[in-house]
Amino acid sequence: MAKKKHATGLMRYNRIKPATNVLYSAIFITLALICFLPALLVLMVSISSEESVMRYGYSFIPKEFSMDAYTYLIRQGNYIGGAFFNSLKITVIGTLIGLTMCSTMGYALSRPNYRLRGFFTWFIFIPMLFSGGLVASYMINAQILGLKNTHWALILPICCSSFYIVIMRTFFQTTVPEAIIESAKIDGARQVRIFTQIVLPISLPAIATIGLFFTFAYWNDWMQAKYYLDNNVHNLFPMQYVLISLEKNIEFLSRNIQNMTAGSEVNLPSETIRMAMVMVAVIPIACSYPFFQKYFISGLTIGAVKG
Amino acid sequence: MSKSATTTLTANKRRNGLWKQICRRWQLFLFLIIPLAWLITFCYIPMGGVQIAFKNYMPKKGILGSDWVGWTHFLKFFNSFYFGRTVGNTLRISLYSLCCSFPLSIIFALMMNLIINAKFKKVVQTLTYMPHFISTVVLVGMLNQMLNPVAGLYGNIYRLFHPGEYPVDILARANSFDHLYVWSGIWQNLGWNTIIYMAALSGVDPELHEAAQIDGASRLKRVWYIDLPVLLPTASIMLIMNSGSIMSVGFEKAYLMQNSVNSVYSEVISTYVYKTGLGGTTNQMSYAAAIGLFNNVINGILLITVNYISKKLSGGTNSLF
Amino acid sequence: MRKVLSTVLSLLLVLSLFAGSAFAASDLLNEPGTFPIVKEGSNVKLTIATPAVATVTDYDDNHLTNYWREKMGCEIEIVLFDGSEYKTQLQLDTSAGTRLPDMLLNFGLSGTERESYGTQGYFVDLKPYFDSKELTYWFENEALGYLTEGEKAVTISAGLSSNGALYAFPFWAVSVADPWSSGMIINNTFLEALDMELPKTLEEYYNYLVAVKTQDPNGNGIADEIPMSGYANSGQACVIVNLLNSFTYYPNTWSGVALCATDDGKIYVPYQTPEFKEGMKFIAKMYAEGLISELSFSQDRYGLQAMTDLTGDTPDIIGSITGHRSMMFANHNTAERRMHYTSMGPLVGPEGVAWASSYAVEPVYKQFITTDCENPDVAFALIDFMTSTHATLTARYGREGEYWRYATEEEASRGSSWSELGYTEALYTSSWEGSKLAWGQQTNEIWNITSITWQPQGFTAVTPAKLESEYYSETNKYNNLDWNSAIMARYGQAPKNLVGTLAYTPEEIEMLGTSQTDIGSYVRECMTRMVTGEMDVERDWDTFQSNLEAMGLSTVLSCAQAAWDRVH
Repeated sequence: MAKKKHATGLMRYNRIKPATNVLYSAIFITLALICFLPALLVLMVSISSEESVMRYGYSFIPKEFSMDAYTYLIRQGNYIGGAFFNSLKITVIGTLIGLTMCSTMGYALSRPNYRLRGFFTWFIFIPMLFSGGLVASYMINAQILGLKNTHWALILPICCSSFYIVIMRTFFQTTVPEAIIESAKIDGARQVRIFTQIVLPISLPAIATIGLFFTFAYWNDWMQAKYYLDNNVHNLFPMQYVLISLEKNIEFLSRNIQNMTAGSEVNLPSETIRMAMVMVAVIPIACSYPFFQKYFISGLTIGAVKG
Repeated sequence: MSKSATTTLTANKRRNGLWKQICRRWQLFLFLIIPLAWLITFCYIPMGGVQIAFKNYMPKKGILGSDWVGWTHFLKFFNSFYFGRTVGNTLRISLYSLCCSFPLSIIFALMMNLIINAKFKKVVQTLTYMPHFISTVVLVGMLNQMLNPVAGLYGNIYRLFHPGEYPVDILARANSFDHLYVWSGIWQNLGWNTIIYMAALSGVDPELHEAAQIDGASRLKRVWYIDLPVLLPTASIMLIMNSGSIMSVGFEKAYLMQNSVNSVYSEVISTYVYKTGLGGTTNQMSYAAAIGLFNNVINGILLITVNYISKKLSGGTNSLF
Repeated sequence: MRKVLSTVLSLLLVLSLFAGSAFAASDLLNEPGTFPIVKEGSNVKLTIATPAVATVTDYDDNHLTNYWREKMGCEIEIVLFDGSEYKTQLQLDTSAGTRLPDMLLNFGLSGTERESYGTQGYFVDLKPYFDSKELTYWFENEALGYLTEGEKAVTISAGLSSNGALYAFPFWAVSVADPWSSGMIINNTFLEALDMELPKTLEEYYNYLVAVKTQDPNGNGIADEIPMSGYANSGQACVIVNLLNSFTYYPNTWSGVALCATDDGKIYVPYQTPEFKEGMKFIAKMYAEGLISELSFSQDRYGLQAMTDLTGDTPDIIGSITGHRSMMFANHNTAERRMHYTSMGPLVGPEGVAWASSYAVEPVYKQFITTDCENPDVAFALIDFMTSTHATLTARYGREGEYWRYATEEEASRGSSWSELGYTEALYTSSWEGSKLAWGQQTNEIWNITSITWQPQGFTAVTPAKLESEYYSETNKYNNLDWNSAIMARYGQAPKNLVGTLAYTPEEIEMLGTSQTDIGSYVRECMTRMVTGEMDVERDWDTFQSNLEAMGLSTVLSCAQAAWDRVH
């Protein structure tokens, strides 16, 4: 109820002249088209036949319609289905852990004036600048923590980030009024309660933003899989890794064909496959976007809490 | 009372104070424990690997056992003919990119916030963030396709007006590299970058707008006096953080867009390191680590400088520490 | 540091001597040349690591893997590495002290990397095996027979590290055509329209290009013809590299330092010679006159394809291209314009120079036995077996009888498809009845790699020559004839000494630093800029030379000379 009231409220304040409005809409429609058309092109190329793409270049209307790229993908990655669920699992767990870590740390750092606050800030800041490199991380993660060939190796090393902590801290500092926390404290609420019942609901847009970042990072990550999963453990592979290694292989094979067979060239649908891969990889994450989006299209926050 | 006794006393007092505080606000410190443990395990302990930059890393001898070579790898890079060029190119591309994309994403977020129709707003937002998902390989492939003066969209449009002629090949113009690199990047990331600002803007208290409207403030004025100040802390932090990655121009896109015509402009540090790796005459692990460390130091200096300026300008509020 | 190194080296040498004497006593193996290779009941297991190729569905239950198991009579376990990051993984595994698999197959390590891992004691030195010849049965009896004397000479020597050890087993996987596959291709319909002969000299070629530009050979009334183009970032398709060979020999590379050697073994680089300068001036003139498209330096292969692979009423627009002919069409057998293009041999320059841009043909060194292997003799016997004809054909095409068979007498009497080059024996046929295993398709038959097959130039030539009736279309036939005649014209048109991979000592590597990378990039860049006019060949020549010197060109040359002299 509060939400609705609020939305209409905002709309009232945003009112502008009709002429300006038309111009405004025109700008946005153009911008949206500039962004959308190439994406559409990717889709269209992915459903064209490789030969027509090679011959006529990219085209919005497929000259020869063909689902070869998709059938190739399905045929090649017979474990692509399992990989999809692995990715889903990793993304959900990773995002939840990541959100918990970043929001608690960010909140703690946003509290004003207590000892060690400066120290902690530096403490999270330094890793932003210096990293020990792959070998050192590998030895810790694989040898000491024994994460090799587990999904934890894909989740834990990237489940927190100084960058996100700082963003969270800034959000908390600017959007959560100190007065609310103080009054809750006077009411006798403990920090944990203040955090979960007051701060978090106010900060949903921030949570949604960082959540989206995490989701995207986990869904797209394949570097971790490359180093921490042996190639024999197909059943653990995340989808992005399957796609990327397929793409690299196609690159390699099509490069080698020229050196290999003098008389007969074999054609791989490499261009269209690349496009199809973009589609396959993007669709799930694009579907989850509206879920996050509803929290940061300006709306609830303060009004919701107060109402 | 002797001097040393005084210091011990104050130290004790301080320690007591700290301990007291931890006891009093233990829940707050509880929040910190897990993330701190994570930072120590996954960031601080591996940080020992930084020493590879000063060693000739050999797997057999390990990180600790490899031989120290001092600044050799750094000097190799500093003395290279390409040192000045790669650093210059990296800085130029980075700054150009930052100077354009940073204000644009703020302006775009403010503009989007003004859209009245909620549905339209959602659609615009969803569409503009789409390019973010297109992979770099595909993006560069599309650039090549579209800008081809013979077979591409660009050439076809040109020939509508000048039949039988071919336009200038933009990709074969060395100085167009910067613009292509930066603007294709903006196209790809503008929508995505606004997300964080949209979230910040959603925190604007509607009562402020109400009050301002009663006072007769125009929409533009309210953007300036209400929306922008809300964005400022987030924007400052984003600027500070971005300035801390100025030396890290990504490898893939620059490498894919590179050709022998534009290499004067397109050779950045990361592509150069990659090529020396292919050459196979450097201890690549150590060499790359040394250059990485060099980048990080410069990044750190830039970040701290920008942070300092921001702190001064905002009177101490908008800064990392 | 040096002291430590030399101690390690001498220690290794001593150790390898022991290894050399130890394998003779191996009682695990049956008499060489008999199957199974491993004695029954010896209970040996080999673990083989290889970078995964995504099109291979199951390495463990793969026909090739099973074939090896059967012939070896031992257990084989496959460990897969990442297809593109296997080098990093190897580095991580060695760093972490993980036990390495017994064998590494298809690990493309550079000479420096081989030597680095080798001297650290990760790989077994295979040189003693080749010296004693006790376990090199298939290598000696079958594989060597396909090699020319020149190839025999470099098989071992080109893979030696600077300490004299051989850390990888050599394999040849080069077709006759490969080194001679790039050059100029010309539009024969334009030639006909202009009433010109196929150019033999650079001058005739130049005149042809001028005519293409000015005389509207496609007859559509507008000057939309592009005289000549290649594509960017490739030695094969680089217009400059290909044209330069009418002035001075320039190897087919777009990435390295382009080292060359005179007939008496002196190392030099072409871009310091007056011939190079003359050539560059000529090419710059061609560019200034609009005969070379600027797209040559910016477009990718698909851009070039868009100029050649046309259909319907669209008139041809391009007069000539440089590169590998497979870059021209999406599908060579169905392309409508395939027969419009003729591949050319080398063009004779003003001073009578006519080289074909090529490269040194060398074996690949990608198969390793690690020191963690408990039975290096067994591992060696397996690699040795891979060099046999039957194992090679099985690894390349799949099982005998289904994907390939030995040639019939009639086919053998026809000779091989490269008979004009002196390769006359016809041994096998892989493409009969159309049941050919397509390269790059999903398969469980082979591993889709060539580095485990013994296919030197003489071997890939031993398919029977095709009969007229065996071509399934006119285009298909044209394709083959055009290809063959171009290879014939280019074959052997290169200096006697071609510089391939050189093995540098650790000291030399230290001296080289980043010089090679720097020079490679710089030369590439300057060549392009000289052609496009951003640099003037005459005016900027001294700057060009002094910059090369500043990057350490003389060090590169002296190190290369030293490395060359060690082998030759």
